[in-house]
Order: sequence, then C-alpha cells, then structure tokens
Amino acid sequence: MTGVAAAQETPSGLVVARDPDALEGALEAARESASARWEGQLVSPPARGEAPAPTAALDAYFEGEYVSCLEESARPALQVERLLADGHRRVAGVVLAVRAACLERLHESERSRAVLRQLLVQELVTDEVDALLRGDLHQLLEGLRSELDEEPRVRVRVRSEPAGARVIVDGGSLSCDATPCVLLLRRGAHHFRVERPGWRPERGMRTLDAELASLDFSLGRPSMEESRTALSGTLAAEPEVTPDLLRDVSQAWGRRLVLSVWRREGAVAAALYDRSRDAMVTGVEPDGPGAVGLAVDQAIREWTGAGAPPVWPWIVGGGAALVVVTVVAVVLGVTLQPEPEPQWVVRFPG
Amino acid sequence: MGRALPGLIWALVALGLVAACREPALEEVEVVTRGVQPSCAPDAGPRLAVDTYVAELYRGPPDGVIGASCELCDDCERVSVACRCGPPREPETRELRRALAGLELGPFSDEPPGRYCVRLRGLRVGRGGAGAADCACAPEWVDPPAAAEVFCARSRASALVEGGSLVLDELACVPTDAHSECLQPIGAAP
Repeated sequence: MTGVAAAQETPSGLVVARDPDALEGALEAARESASARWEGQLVSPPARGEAPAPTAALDAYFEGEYVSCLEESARPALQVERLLADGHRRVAGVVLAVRAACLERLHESERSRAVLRQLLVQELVTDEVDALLRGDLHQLLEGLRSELDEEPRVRVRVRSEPAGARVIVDGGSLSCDATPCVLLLRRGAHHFRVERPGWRPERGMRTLDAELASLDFSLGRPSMEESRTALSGTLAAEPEVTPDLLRDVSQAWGRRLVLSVWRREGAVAAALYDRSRDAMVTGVEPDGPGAVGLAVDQAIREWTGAGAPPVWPWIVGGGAALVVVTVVAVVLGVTLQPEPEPQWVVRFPG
Repeated sequence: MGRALPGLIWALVALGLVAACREPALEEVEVVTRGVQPSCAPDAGPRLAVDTYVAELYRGPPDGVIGASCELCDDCERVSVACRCGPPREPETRELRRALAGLELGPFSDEPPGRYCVRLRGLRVGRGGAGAADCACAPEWVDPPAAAEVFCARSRASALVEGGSLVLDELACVPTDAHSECLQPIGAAP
C-alpha cells in the first residue's frame, strides 16, 4: 500500500458478485490484500415475474364465451399498461388482440376498432396476433393500418429532470438512450418508461394527439432500499460495469470502495472503484481455478499502484511556482526595488 | 511539501538571478578637446611629439570652493585614471582626438553628486607602438621627469549631466607657467 493510502484510515469496501462462489473467492482475495474492510453483497436480477399468460381469455374466446373472454382479458395481471411497463410486449399484443376479437363478436365494433388501433399504434402486432385475427378481423386490422400509415407521425420531444435518462416506448417498440431526445410516434396512447440509474424511474401512458408534442418527466430520488434493489438488478444484468454504476453503488451502500466481479466469455473480470478518486481499475483473468482471486489481486494491485501520487503534478506545480515567483520577483524588482545607482563613464569621443 | 522544495529552490534561484541581473544604467559624459592650436613647439627646434597620454578624473564636493578647474581643490579625490599609448604624434587637434578616441574614465558612481575635472597630460616616454591603444598606467607617469612632459590641460569643473561634456579648453605646453600650474597636485593639500 502506498504511503498516502496507508496514511489514510482503512477504507470500507463492498464486494459485489452475481454468484456465491465468485463472491466468496473475491471476498477472500480482497480481504487477504488487507487493503480495506471488505464486506460482500450478492446481487441478483430484479424479481421479474413471469409474463402472465392470457390462457383463460383465449380459451373463452375459442369456446365462444365472449363475455367471459372480456372479463378474463381485463384481469389486473393482463392490464396492457402494466404488461408494457414490465416489457411483456408479446403478451400485451395477444391480450389486445383477443379483446378486440371478443368485442367484435359481441358486435362492439367501435370498441373493437379502438383496440385494434391501439395494437397498431403501439406496434404490438406479432405473428401470434396475426394468427388470432383472421378473416374479417384481419381485414379490419389492415384497413386501420392503411389509415394510420397515411396519418403524419407525431414528433415528440422528451425531456427529463435530470437529463440523460433512457426512454422506452411501449415496452420496447422504440427507445432513446438519453434525454432530451425526439421520437416519431403514431398518434394515440403510448406507454413511456423513463429511467436513469440512481433515480426512481417514471412510467405511464401519454396520449399524443397533435403533430408536435413535448413530454416532461421528473425523476425522483429513490430510497436507499430502492437504489440498492435497482443497482443490484443492474449489476446482475449488465455484463460490463462502468464507473458511473459503481459510483452509484458506492453511494447506495455507503462504501468508499466497490469491487465488482463477474464472468463473461471465458474470463473473470474484477472492477474496483474508489470514490475518493472517482476512478475505476480492472483486472481480467481467463476463467479457471483461482481466476476470481487473481482478477481481484490484479485490480487491487492496479488500484494501489494508481494510488501512488503521480510525479507530474509536482513538476507542473514546481514549474508554475517558479514562473509565478519569477514574475513576482520581476514585478517587484521593476516596481518596488530602488533603481540602482547609475554608473558614469567619461569618454573621449571617437 | 518535500516534493515542492525543488520548485521553491528554483524559484528562489530565479529570484536571486533576477535581482542580480538588474544592471544599473550607464550614463556617459564626453570629454571635448579643443583649442589645441598651435601645437606644442618650442620657439626653436622641432615640434614635440607625444606617445603617452594620462587622463585623470577628479571629483570635488558639490558645495565648497574648488576653483574653475579644480585648482583650489583641498578635498578633491581622484576617481579614475586611464592611459593611452601609441606612436609619437604631434598633439594638434586632429591627432589628439584620434589618439584619444574611446579612452574611458570609469565607470564610477556619482553618489552623492559632485563636480568633476579631467586633467590630461601628454608625455613622451618612448614606448612607441604601431597604433594608439589603452595601456596600463605606469607609476612614474604620474610624476614623470620634466623631460617627458609635453602638455597638460585641465577641464572646467562641472557636475555630471547625462549627455553632457567636460571641456578641455587649451593645452598648456612645456615650458610655460600654465603648464606648471596644470601639473599642480589636485586634491587634499599636503
């Protein structure tokens, strides 16, 4: 450990990993380095429920129980907004399709037409939907599609506070990576999910009925527990970690150091983030026995090396000081120092 | 702090250099020679040639009586002496100026300001030489044998003025009373 690091209080560190073996190996290697007081945290993807199956609604439709079909498709678990929020676009499409079919069979043509339009607007038509909507329903759908194609798309400007958030439309039909951004969408109701790591995501339906629209979302600060849950999910889902992500983890868990370990493509990678330097170092080892420990050692060695104060600031600082003092000396010499007595020469002219 | 020390040292060195390198201004005063006609020549015999020149600069107090040409100096001091040696030349105006061209007295400090006189003497000491050049002043040139004396002149007492001049009006040649007066010691009375 460098003199500078040693002089500081032993930092607190958090080791995060997706599988218990990696966590145990990384924690052991990190503790052996005696670089910090390390604790472990297993991360896992968010408990994402299985996509609900609209089986009952489909069964009712195929059995001609159209009222029952509408009731089944209206169950809370099959609410399209909720399905889109969870990214279950395929199920959302099937639910809307079966609902449109049942309404049509119940001679609720206007309502059926509205649901079919929603299918198209949110681009939820899949092969399953096509298979479900046959005959007259299929013709109706294609007719609506032609109408929609002739409508100008709505130019939507999406902003968020803070900016730089990701926008996901209709569960994934369209997205932009960072707000503010402009999206071209069909006129109608759309589901928006606006998210940024470290912030509580915003989601909801917005109806676009003009050629130009501006949507503003304000992301709130999540609670510590929400942060940890979200970050845990992110860490578990993303193969590569970034300094930004580990900075958020560092803040959420209140640790100066965060050591993340993950496996990918036959290698074990370890990333060590230090909040005091706002910097991340990595170590990578081919996967195999002891690879986790080696990767962690590599990252920690890199970190302690990176902790050595660089020489260049001193050179630059010294040079700057030299320049400043010289300038001051010149100024003082010129302005404050008494003028030296002039010297005289008596000369015979040439 | 330890690592910043070299930078600090360099800074101090630079400061010292800056302070040390500040040179004082150099002011110049010309010595104007005129009225060197006729050339020194005895009534009978060849004209006397000069091969050595001794220029002395005397400084008197700014106040007090020192005389028009420092002839009354009791507390004048000699500031500088310079000698020029060369081939024997008759001390007429053109030759004199050529022989003395560039001869310097100083540099010196005029602090506190004083009044100055230049005394120029021409000697014939037989040094010879191809051309006039500065030479070290021999002790005997200060009080040379009479045979070596050719001329002597004193400037008017004057304070130093930047771009000013000290005027050597007339050469007093040997053997004249004026020459003898010119040779009188300048400075503290014995």
